[in-house]
Amino acid sequence: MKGKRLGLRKRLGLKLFKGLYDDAVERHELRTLFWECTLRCNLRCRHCGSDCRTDVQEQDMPLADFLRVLDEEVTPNVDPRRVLIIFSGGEVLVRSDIEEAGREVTRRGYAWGMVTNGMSLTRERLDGLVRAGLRTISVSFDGFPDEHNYIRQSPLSFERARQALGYIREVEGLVYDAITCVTPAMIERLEEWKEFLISEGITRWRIFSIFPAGRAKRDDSLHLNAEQFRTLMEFIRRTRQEGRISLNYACEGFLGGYEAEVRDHFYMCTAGVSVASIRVNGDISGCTSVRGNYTQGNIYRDHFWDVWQNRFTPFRNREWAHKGECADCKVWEFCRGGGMHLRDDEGELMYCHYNMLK
Amino acid sequence: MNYRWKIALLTLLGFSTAACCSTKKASKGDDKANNAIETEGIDNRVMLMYGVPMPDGSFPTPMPNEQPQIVRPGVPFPDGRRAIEMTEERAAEIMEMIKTEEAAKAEIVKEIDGVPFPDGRVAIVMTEERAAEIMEMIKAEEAAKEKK
Repeated sequence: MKGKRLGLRKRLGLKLFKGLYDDAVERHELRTLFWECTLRCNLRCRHCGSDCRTDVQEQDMPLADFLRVLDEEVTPNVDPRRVLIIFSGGEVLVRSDIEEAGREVTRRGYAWGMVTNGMSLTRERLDGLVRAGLRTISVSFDGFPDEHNYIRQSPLSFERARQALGYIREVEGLVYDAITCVTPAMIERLEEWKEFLISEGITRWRIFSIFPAGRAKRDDSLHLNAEQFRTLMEFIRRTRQEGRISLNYACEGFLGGYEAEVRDHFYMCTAGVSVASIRVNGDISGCTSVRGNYTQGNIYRDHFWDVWQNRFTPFRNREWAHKGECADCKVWEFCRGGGMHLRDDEGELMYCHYNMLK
Repeated sequence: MNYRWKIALLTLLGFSTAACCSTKKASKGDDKANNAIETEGIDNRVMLMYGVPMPDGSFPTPMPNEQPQIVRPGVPFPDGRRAIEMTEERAAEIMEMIKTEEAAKAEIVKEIDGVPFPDGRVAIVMTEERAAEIMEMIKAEEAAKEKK
């Protein structure tokens, strides 16, 4: 087992990569823009980071408001071919104008993609989205029916997600992946689950584990313990070596000796560096996983591009996070305090992946 | 140390480009056993937790990328070149070109050890010892920067 230990070769690689990351921070070239277009959802998942609701407490952002920002603030300052727009939620398919949004974004030269739970993705809806320029899609698929439906709290959700992935695979040229949120119940069944995915013809797979935010904060049954986390890392490492399915661990945190073994890249948090989001209420932030109070502006008050260029200091200079358990950490220079989504409103680290590898 | 040097060193260390190994290039043993130079294709990817893959199958990355991520037939690049539609034949040709180029590069890597560059510097193949030396250099450089 690899654990926390970093070999010399990897340490040197990380040192070099650190320099590249610093350059990227300096340039802060916008490459991914999330549009949190709704907080409404047709499920009520136990681990939801957004605390989405089926009822309407926060109105969807009108498409025109998003397009105004795109036209007045973003497009004049970027090459649209180099920026990916991601529609996120909530569940984006609860909006009836997603196809229109896609067409408008495509017309402006951007590629776009979306994350979905698959509940409303019929073959007809998918055709419409593809015609509207959909280029890439990710579907949440958390395990066998018992495990998936438990997390999603719906008896239909497994079959719908499976069906959605089936339709998606049939669309030539559409890039996709299945995303599995691994819970303790799935740890012993990972090999089985991998075989199932392969037998379903799925070629790209992404795994993440729960971090304490949103509803998951209150549900201990979703959190992996240290031993389970190590088991998961070993599983991913082994699966990548086999090369039968492309598998990555999400950008959760720094992973010590597992760096470059469970992901295609060294760890980095790109929130606010190359990733921005426009929240449903107009707030401007890093990626949509960041739930802490790190809002940098609001599209209804500020100029998006001005905010992107001149604010985002907490995202781009992490010295403020060099405290608490990070203060004396040996890998601070590589980790920089973990992902922004792992920090609470007070800036405290809620979860350290590296320390889970003891 | 400039960008190209960093990338070159990362490649020599087995992390082909800063974004390092792809699935099949993932380390298969301990660090010492994996000192071999890998020259397989560049894989410049970063994955977002709740994001989606880029349309070309990769993931968004903050690393410099000379080519636009999305290439549509007939759309001019900023430098005036035009994208062409990819066909099976064209893809096969490009694959061949890449393979030939990589084979040539691998040969060069074998041969360059100790050979001087025109500016007098000498190319060396990365070893554990050399890596340790570079590490020391970086530390010294950083310490000097901090003093400043």
